[in-house]
Amino acid sequence: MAVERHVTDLLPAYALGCLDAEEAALVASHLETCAHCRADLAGYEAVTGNLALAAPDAAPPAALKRRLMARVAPAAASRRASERAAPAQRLAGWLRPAWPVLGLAALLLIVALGVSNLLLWQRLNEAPPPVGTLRTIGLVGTDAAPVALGTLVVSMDERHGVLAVDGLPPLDATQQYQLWLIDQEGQRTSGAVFSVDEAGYGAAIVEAPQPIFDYSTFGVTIEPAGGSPGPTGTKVLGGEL
Amino acid sequence: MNYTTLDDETLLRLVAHANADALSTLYDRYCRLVFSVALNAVSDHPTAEEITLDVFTRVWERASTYRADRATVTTWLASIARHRAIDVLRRRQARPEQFSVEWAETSASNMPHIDGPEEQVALAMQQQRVRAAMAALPEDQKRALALAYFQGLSHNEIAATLREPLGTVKTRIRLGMQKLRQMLQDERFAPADQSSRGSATYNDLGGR
Repeated sequence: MAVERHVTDLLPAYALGCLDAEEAALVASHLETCAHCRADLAGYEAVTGNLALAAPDAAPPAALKRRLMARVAPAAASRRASERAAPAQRLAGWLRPAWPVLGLAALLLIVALGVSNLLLWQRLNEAPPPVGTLRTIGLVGTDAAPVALGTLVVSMDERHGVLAVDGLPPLDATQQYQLWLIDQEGQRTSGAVFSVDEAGYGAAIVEAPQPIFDYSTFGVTIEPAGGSPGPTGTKVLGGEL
Repeated sequence: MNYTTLDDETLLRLVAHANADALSTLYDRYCRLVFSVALNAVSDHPTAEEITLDVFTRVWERASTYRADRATVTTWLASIARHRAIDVLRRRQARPEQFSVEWAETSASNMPHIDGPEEQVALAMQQQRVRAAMAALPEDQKRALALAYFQGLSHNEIAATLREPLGTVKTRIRLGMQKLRQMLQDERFAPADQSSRGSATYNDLGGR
């Protein structure tokens, strides 16, 4: 395209938004097909973006911040509640396609328990536990992953669970996340090794050598792929009973 | 958690997750900038306060729409404040006194205090740089740019306001923007200790 057909002289005013409508339409039309002018415009838009910094200093009254925080407070409470529910909702979605496998595992577990402990089985039959009373443990992101959240859903036998996490940074192939179950003495036991997808979501089956509620603290760290005997990397999630 | 150590983008991500503490920190960091833009446009404190409140309420409601690849948080907030103020002026159908808009002077006394978290240091240093560049422009160019930026006036409206020929106003706007662009790219306008403090670069602040 010939140089004279560019809209070079109009770009500074276009970036500032002070062209009249007819000229602005002309520039907009030209920009659709001219990469040269689009690049030139970007430089002037950067200038416009900086002009606010040259405004004379002025400070709002302190009361204005109080009004802002009062305005957002109700929404903050309800939105936080729905954010906490999000991992559980994703967990439900994750469980749906895996249901046949998990169902079979659950069935085998029940049979094994039934054979090994007839008395318990009878007691369970006499007074079946209410459905929908699975207990959960919440995990929150550390400074290394401030938007991360996690939910550990614990099975009725307390030795199994499913961990669902959200908002964790995706890792390269040489690293994975590892869940640690920490008892009162500070002894750390691996609960699961897992990865997250590009959106930061992941889920893992958790197995514990002793009831999960016997542990007092829970943490997730970044470890070499396959996991470590003990935590060595950055802690990204943590929670306590 | 000490939110003041977090960068702008992290704070916005937290705001998008309904974190009121992150909004509070972002407000502390940028309320003066937003209020200054609004006040210089509308020239009255109550309206400027309402605009500032609206800007941060919008940040609270729409933080998830922020795109870091399109603009820095500084540019994004300033743009929201500017357009909100211009909307208010257009609804009023009357502009403040013709020369009420102005740019900050660059005397040492009103330079921002450079200390504290890196984000604030970078912002203050860029502020120095922009103000020094603006101060180097001729008065007539600064005045035309101020009317366009703060009040959203077109070439024709600026010419009518200043009672100058349209062609003269167009030239002033074009030359002013060209000089600012050149000066902001010129290392001589960078603060002396910028390289050692990791200040925002020209491209960081709105370049693509």
